[in-house]
Amino acid sequence: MSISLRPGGRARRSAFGRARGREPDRSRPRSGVGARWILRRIALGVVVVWGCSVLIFFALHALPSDPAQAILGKQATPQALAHLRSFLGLDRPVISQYLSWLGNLLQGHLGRSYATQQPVTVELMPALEDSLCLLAATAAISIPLAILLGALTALRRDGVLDRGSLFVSLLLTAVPEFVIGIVLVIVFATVVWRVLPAVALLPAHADPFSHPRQLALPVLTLVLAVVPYLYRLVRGTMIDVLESEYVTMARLKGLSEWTVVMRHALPNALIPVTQASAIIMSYLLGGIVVVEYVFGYPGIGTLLTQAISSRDIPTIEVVSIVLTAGVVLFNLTADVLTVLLTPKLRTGGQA
Amino acid sequence: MRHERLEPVSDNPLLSRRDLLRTGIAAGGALAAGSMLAACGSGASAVTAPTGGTPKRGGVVRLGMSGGGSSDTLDPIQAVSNIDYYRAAALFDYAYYPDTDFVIQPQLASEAVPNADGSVWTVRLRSGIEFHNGKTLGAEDLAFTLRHIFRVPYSGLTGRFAMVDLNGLKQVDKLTLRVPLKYPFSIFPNALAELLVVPVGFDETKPVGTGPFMFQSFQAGRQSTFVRNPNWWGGFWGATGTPYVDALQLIDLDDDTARVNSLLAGQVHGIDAVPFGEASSLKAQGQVLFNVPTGNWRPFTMRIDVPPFNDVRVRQAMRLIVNRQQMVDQALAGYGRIANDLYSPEDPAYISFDAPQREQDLEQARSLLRQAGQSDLRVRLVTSPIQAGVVEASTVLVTQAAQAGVTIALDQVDDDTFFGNNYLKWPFAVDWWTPTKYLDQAVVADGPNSAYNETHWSNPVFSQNYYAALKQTDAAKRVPYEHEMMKLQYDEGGYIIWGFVNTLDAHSPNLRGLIPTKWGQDFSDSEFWRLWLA
Repeated sequence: MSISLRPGGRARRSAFGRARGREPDRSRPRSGVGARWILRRIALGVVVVWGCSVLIFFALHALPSDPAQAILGKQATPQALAHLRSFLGLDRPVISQYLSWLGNLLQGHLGRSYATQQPVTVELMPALEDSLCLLAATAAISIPLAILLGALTALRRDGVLDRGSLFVSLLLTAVPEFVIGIVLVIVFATVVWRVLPAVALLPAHADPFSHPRQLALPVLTLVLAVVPYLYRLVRGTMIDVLESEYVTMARLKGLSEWTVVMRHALPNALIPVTQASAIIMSYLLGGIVVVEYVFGYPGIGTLLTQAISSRDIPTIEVVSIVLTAGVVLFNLTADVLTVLLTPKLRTGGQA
Repeated sequence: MRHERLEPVSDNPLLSRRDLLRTGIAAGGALAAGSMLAACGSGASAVTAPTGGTPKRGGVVRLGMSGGGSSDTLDPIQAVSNIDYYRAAALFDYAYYPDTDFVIQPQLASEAVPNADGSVWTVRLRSGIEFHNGKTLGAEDLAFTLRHIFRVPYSGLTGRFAMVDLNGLKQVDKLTLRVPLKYPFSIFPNALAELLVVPVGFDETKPVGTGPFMFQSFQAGRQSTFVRNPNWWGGFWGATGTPYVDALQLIDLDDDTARVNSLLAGQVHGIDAVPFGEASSLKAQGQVLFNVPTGNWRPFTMRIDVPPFNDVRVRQAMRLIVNRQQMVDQALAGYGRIANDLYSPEDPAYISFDAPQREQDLEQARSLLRQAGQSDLRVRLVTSPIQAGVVEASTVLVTQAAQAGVTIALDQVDDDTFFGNNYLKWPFAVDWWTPTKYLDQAVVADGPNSAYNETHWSNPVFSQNYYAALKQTDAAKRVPYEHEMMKLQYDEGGYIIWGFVNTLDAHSPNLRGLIPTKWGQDFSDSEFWRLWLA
């Protein structure tokens, strides 16, 4: 349940790359999905988010260079440092800083950025919106694309499309997102063709969806990072389902192949995919940090990178909490969806 | 340059790094404004830009600039990063400003007259200049601007104007302000060359200046748009009828790769701070390099008060070890020229100072080290990627030193650590500076009580000449003092100044109007009114 801020995140990807849901999962409730179970999961999620926030807060304060130093840089003289530290409240004990920060948080105050002296939300909200646009566009393209490609390659197993897709997907899996991004920039924006913008220069306060050209390469990068896993998952479960007895039975009944696939096979194959899609979203939260950096896209990833370089602790904290909460939320959604879609789990094993 | 915010506050005539960037000496008589444009063509040899053609009106110029982030500001007094200063130069005018020959000229001021020892200055402003909101520029605006420096949380100018006695400011008439100083400061106009004048009651959210462009929109860390000021007075250049373009967009692109890519993709017309390694590929892809020699310097610093550098023979040996041309070629990819252990190459005092170019002399270096009892010298050099070429130069130095039997252990730290608690205390380290006039540089780098005395330079004869120069308001009469100071630095100093680094911008072929300047800062010293689109 960690956030992957760096390219890769290999371990987690391959973990859910194995078609989850085919194995019995002991974390699932044995007696049906009730409000109490969901509430307990939410409570657990809050504890996880809080734990991460504590960890990040104290880790940031344990760093050798302090925010005052980072802001002043070469201009730093002892007096100037002392002045700025007391201005920012950095001269107080870490515990008391943490308690007052937590107190403010519980009252709904997310704190003031060290860099801008404005409430963190002033920068956070537009950045969050931009990032969510990126996520939404990626999900809207990747998930249908993965299902389509997965179904087709399962139906034409070992065909040209199947082998070609497998080769390309293995290639893309081996390459981190930022490399994909850089290659796309070289091909579509700078060296080979100049058809798309290399840097996402969104006008101030603009809605990203009204500038689709600026979104194109960041979204394409994320799609290329995500579809290989998702489509292979669909393909795997689809093959299992197509070989199952009830599909054989449906075929024996003389149903058309279209009906067999659309009515019997695909809906069953989509159960693990639904769960995986939710987890993919939580993975993308990490991915956007890297991709936003490569394309200068003004979302929370860029906000986080800027905040880290100026040791802007309040901003780093809040962005981290948002990312952690997102991961928890998407995982919870994945679990709930799985339970709802699996009759055996839904009814507590009495189906 | 994003690590600058506060300024040391003290009674010393301190300058900040940033200050130096905007500084020079008001040497010699003022050239007539009209002749400035004509004089521009002379130093064009280093420039590969097609500046030719008749300027055309209209269009929107988009420039991708380095240095920005979430702490971006529109208050020129609180400017920190490169792009802060670019925005300020579009909106405001300086009280004084360097012309294309790096002579500091009165800009919004018409003159600044000192008393005998330079401790009281009478500054007169030009008449008939209007702010964007129609207010006429007056002495009260200059007084407000000076006070504004000390009212805002983090002005980089507090040290630069620490000598001003704010309580004694006196408005003589509508256009004249009497500025008493706490001590003699013969180069006060150089400080005024860093002062962008704001109107009384300045509001950062609706910035109003006198400059060539007017405010339209701004979002910190992203971009800002300015529109042409049809009533701009044309500056001391006499550039009436400018700017040529209808609007100027400055886009925050602090990441080197993003900046270069945005130019290649045709998203912007020009970028500043081109990484030297990218220059040839930009050129190969049809972009135009604006490559201007400057006095930017990135020295090695030896502390003269700790072993082994407290022995002058060791310092002299280290200077003889350096193969300067090799360092320029390798660390700067040739975008620079060799230097002679002295700073401010455009200063008249530097130009008239007679010192032979120091060359690599390993034999002499070994002999000096032997005399000093340091035949197998081992030292630790602290380096950091604080500017392009610095780490590379350090690596080259290690190789060159080995030829003289000196072992240098390289200790590379990140720039927060470098400018951290040990900054100005490292025995052997690196640094970077933008060019300024000689005496201004001494005030900040190695003069008595200077804020950034990284070599811990201290010399009674030097100090004596330094104070004499700060009392001498006649620039020509300051030169002998400055030569005395230079001689000491050249013979015994703790700096190894191996090269001067070019300014390297790049732009698309249809962006015109850039001309090389002696000061050599990005985009013709931020004179965006010159730009036009072919």
